[in-house]
Amino acid sequence: MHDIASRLWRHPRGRVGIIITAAVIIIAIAAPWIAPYDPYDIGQRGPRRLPPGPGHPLGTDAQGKDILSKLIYGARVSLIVGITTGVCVTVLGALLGIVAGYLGGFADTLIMRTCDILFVVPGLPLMILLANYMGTKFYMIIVIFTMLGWAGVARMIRSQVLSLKSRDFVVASRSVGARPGHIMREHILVSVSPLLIVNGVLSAAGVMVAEAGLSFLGFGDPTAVSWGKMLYEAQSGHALLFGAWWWVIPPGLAIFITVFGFMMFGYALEEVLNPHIPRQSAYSKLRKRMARYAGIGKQAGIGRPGGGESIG
Amino acid sequence: MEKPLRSVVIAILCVGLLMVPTGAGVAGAAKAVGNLNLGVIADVKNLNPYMGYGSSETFVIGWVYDTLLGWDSDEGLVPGLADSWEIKDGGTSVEFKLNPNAKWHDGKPVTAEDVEFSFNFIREKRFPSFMAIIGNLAGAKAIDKHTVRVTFRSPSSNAVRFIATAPSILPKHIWSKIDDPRNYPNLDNPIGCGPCAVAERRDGQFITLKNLGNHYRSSLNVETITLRVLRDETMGIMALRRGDLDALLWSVDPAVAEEIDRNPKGYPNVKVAMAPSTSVRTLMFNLRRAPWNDATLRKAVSLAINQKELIDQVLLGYGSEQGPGLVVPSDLHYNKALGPVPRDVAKAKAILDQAGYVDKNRDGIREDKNGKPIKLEILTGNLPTSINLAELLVYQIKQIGIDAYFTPLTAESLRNKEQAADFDAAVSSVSFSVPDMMFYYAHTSRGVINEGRVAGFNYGGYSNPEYDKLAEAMLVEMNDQARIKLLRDMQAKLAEAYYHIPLFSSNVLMLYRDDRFTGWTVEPDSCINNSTTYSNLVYKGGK
Amino acid sequence: MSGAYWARRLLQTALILFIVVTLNFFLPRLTPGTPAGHLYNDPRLSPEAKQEILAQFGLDKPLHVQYAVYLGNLLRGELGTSFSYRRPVSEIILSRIPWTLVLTLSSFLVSVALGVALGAAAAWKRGGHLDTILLSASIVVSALPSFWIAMILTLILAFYWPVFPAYGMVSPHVPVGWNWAFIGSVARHAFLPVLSMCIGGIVGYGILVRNSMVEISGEDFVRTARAKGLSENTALYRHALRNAMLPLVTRIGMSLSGLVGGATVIETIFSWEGMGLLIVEASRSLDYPLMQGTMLIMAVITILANLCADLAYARLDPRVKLK
Repeated sequence: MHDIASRLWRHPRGRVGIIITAAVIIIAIAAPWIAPYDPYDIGQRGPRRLPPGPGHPLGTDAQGKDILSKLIYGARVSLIVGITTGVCVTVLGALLGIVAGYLGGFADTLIMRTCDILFVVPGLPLMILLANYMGTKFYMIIVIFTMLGWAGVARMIRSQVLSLKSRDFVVASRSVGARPGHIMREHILVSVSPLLIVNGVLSAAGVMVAEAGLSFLGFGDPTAVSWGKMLYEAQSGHALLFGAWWWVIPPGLAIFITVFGFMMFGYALEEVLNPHIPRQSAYSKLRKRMARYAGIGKQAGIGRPGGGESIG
Repeated sequence: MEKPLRSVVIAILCVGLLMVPTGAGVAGAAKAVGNLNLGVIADVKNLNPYMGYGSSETFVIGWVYDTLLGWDSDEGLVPGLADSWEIKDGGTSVEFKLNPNAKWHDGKPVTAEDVEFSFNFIREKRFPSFMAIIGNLAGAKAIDKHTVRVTFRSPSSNAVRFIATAPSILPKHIWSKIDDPRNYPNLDNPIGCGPCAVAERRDGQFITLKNLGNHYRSSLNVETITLRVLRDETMGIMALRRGDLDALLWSVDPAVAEEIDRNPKGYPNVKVAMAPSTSVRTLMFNLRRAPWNDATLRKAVSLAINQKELIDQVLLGYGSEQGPGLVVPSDLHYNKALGPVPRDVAKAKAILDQAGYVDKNRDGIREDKNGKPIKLEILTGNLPTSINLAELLVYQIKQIGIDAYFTPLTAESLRNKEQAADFDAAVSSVSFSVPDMMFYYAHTSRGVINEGRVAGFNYGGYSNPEYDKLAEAMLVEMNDQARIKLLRDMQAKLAEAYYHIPLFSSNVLMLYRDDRFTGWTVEPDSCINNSTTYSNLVYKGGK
Repeated sequence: MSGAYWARRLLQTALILFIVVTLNFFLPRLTPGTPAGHLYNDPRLSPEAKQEILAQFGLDKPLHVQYAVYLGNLLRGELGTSFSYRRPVSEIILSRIPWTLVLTLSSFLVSVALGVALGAAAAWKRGGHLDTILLSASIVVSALPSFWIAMILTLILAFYWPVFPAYGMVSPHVPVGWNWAFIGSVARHAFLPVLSMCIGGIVGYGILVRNSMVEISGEDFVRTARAKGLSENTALYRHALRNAMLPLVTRIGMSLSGLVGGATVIETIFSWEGMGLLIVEASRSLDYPLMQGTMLIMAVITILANLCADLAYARLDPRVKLK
């Protein structure tokens, strides 16, 4: 662990990634102490629609809440949703991918066909429907994203598992009589775990953009302060009419910096954990994976984390 | 007289007679000038007068087709296609005398047969938007060329107003030939007898109405009215500022009005028209659920509500406080004695103490008769203004020691919970301009639960036999003054019930320009979008 | 590419389609609330009247009967009538798809063209300035939410410096039709949306092409070509580029499914009347037939796009054997 951490630190992109990610996490945790106002407290609202100035370095919103404070508290929602979904998607996808790849047969077909369906169904209407049905509290958003996002991970893991199945150490293990569960845990999981960790980090980044997009369309958690919601409020609050650039630039910048940090971290992690994979193909493989995961976002025309799809 | 002179005299007399205005006059004889550009948000997807319901659609249909009568906020029912009307047989029938000069756009005259056809058409084809009245509509019969009688199964004071002002009259010679009227969009050259016809239309972009200039009653002075479909409010406001539009036909965000009022130089020639609305936002309690079945508790909550703060924070000041009678002052049947009740937190706390709701364990929350802390869950919509309102309500109610919190829901989920009577309180709104609604929202029968769902709109289950009697009498009272008395008594009962607690009544805010057209007239609820405006609008000139 | 493979593939596709169609039917109905809600809003309606309204929209029959009717209609190619538009769903969709395609196809073509050029140029001088810029840009750009870019572009180019219109698809006064005024107006209105969409695309495709070419330039057949005496130019462009086509086509194939639904947020910001906006509207108003129709069309297009992508991939790379 220590070795990996130090290698990451020495890696130029890794260093940038670690610094940014750590900074955002610290800001999110320390929000109540570093934010000048509490956006949830009605008594602390100031004059409405103030441009940046003394007392409110980033101005106030349509209800008089301090933008800087909202920005700081907004990190919480983005991080919680992003990281939790990244973890859940990776865990679920890994589980199903390993089961499908190793056990094959009916389990494989079932899981893969479900993946196919998930890829094909348009993401946004599905998300809107599910949000209507399940509510839009942020933990529901996490559930919805997980339900739609595990497919990409599963597919990727499955193909890794298929190639691993025929490798020496696995065959040896089997011949010795090890149980499938044991093999899946001890050998396969261990082999794919670097891939999983990297995927988790990059997925988190992708989810943050997708959550921002969902909130932007008005389907996010209505009571939470989130960066996407700040952009939604900017749009519906006629920012473009009032020229209120301080409603538009800070939240988007926050999203960008956070996602950028996570991605730097993820790519560096990948190179550090798998030094024998040549750089370039790692990129293209990752792009493909990100694109598949971000398929929800792409299909929804929401964000474009990693890879940059040309459409939407 | 000698023959040639006689013919000259006759000729002069004839010419003279022709110059005497007939009936209300061939209005619009002055040349109609000017192209009015109005911005709308909703598209015109369907011009079927009996199926269209979007605001843009009803606007267009209202200009292309006529109804028997009109409704004026000061005078009540006024002539439309019919010059006069008479209620007969104890309220079970109404006789309308049609204006003899009315013509369809294809030249054929409008006759009582068209009216007879229209009402029977509604009954036979069962149009969903008229379902509420079809049950009571017995039929329509043309008595002579310009007289028609409409009959009801039972007398109803509002039925006359409804059938006279809601359904457009259709040309029998066209609609009798249509096979599937419920699915007929009627977008190609609709033929009505109104002042305008559809000149040009582009799906999703605009629709232009042309003033035909030969209407028997309307005094519309503009040449064309164009509705421009805007998908985004901000862009509409920018278009108005640029001068591409003359007015926006939707109520804008108070923030926009505030901005324009603060900074008029940034919006030259743009004005904000402010009109009171006829609906009241309320906090509705579920009277079936303890402890909210105790009126004292509800009264305390109503005393804790600070309407002024709500108006300042949520409506940015563009609203007015409301009294517990739930009828707005601009309505004819408003009960003047029931003005807004001032907030009184001390009194609220006092009556709670007296009733035994005390905070024994000093945690800041009062306990009920069973010793449990009093919680109030308020259901609300999930739009930003609804959330803002709910946050403020919770903040205010907490001050009297009740643990209030809110749950945001989508509109459908909220309605579902109301229908299932599964709530403590919900943010709701009522509009009692159409007096019948006071029956449908508060009569006992409308609060009965059948198969797990509330039968009507009395979601909170208010049940007061005295109120019921008044409401039932009001429905069939055909004498206006007597009906108004009944309505005022009903408001007094509602005021003591603390069932719907008034929060405020918002203002309708519409933006318009005063440089190309003058004559914009503000009326309650419709703001500038009313018939008086269109009668008064005159083109001043300009591009 | 054996016949058996394609037969199995088609069967699987049919199965997926069937499941999607079924899900499509049931999911909207799980949400609380009735679709004809606005028609119910009149409190004067008696229970019988409400029943009658339900019956008129076919919503009173038990769920499995509605499902059977739905399937039957689908087989006849009928997608039903929209509740809110009161026009056939297919007609509405057909009128909206072209507008989305204007955005997505333009963005797509620009992205691919500029991206390939950029990527090839970067790979040509590997490690050079362009290459480094491209690599850094790729990560930066992929972290930028496209809708934020759209908002900023609108702020700059429509508010502070009104060069381009910030909403709508065509100026209201322009007559529809294949004339220069119309095309010009649409082009002006499309500029900002397309720009927002293709920034990421250009960089994305650029990176893809660059990486593929860099990968391949080390491989055997390029060395062979060089050994054969072909000029570097030929070696690069004939072999490397051609093989870089493979991942490019795969990516294009994956993007094809986004052609129809992939511009939702952009369409919302710019009030562009395409499929994306239609889907959001339909979902918000619970217009069942419209929701089902749009979801189905998008699913079908995605399936077809995947099939095409696989076909193209198989043709381009003879090494791939589709079992």
